[in-house]
Amino acid sequence: MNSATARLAEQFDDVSQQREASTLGMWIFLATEVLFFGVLFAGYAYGHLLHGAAFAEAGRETDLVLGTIETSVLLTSSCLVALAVRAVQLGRQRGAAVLLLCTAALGTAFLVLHGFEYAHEYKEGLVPGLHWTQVGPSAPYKQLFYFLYFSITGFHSLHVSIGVVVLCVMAWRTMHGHFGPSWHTPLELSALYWHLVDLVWIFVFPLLYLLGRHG
Amino acid sequence: MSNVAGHDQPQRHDDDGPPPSSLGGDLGVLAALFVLLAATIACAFIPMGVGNMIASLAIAVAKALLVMVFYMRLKRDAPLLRIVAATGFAFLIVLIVFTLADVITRIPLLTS
Repeated sequence: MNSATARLAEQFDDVSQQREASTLGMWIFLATEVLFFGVLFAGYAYGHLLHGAAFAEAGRETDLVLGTIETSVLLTSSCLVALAVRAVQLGRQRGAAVLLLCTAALGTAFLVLHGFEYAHEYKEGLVPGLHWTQVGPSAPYKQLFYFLYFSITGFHSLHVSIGVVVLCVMAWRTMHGHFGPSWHTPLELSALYWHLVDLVWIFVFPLLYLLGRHG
Repeated sequence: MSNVAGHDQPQRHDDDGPPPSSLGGDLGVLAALFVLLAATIACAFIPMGVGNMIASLAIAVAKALLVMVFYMRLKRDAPLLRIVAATGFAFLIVLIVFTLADVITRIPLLTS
């Protein structure tokens, strides 16, 4: 099942070229993802530049403890998926499948924690458009912060959800012997996608959760 | 470029991309990521003015580089991938710098 030559599509000269094309395609997709989130971060930079004080005030109201736990969960999950690729390369399919399922479980834990965070913010009246109870001169700019907060973390969570599904499919395929040391390109590409989810969060955490903490 | 496969031998072929990472290396990167996470939280509580944002972003860039270079294997995979990855971030910088350049130079017009 995991024969590399059996997987060779006719448009490629050899497996090496096929793998290079697949990886290149994935990285180009990841570059577009960087720009997708980049637009939201550019909006953040604009808001922070014009309304820094209100943004700092709003940033203080995010849940730092949950945010830190979520960051730890995603960093650990990135390590686990890297170890899963390593395990497949070493011919340890069962171990790789377990690692992939653990990664998916951490991704699910991240989503559940985020759900608690959103519920708390709803109660506090921090959700623009749905339940916004903030008043005062800085309230409109805090609303801008929370609009960006929900856009960025919402799209990020959507990516996490897709990642969890992809990881489960990869775990199932690894379990059933679809991948081995000689061929595991889909697993590698899925791992790259999961690392991107982690990369985005690495920037989300300081910008949304650590803002204005010293004030 | 022989692709004899199908049996789960740990030996690799030339066409497999980068060789397997080392367990110690992957765990070491995770430890470094956690150290940087602690550092960025600690920095956030020290009043440094604009330094807070600079420290936050510098630490985030360091963490992102660790993930990309080691976990995403940019260090050992094809050089072309490093160019593509760098291109994505280069355009991101263009996007943010030109947006801010516009905003910064417009504020005096608004207030005058």
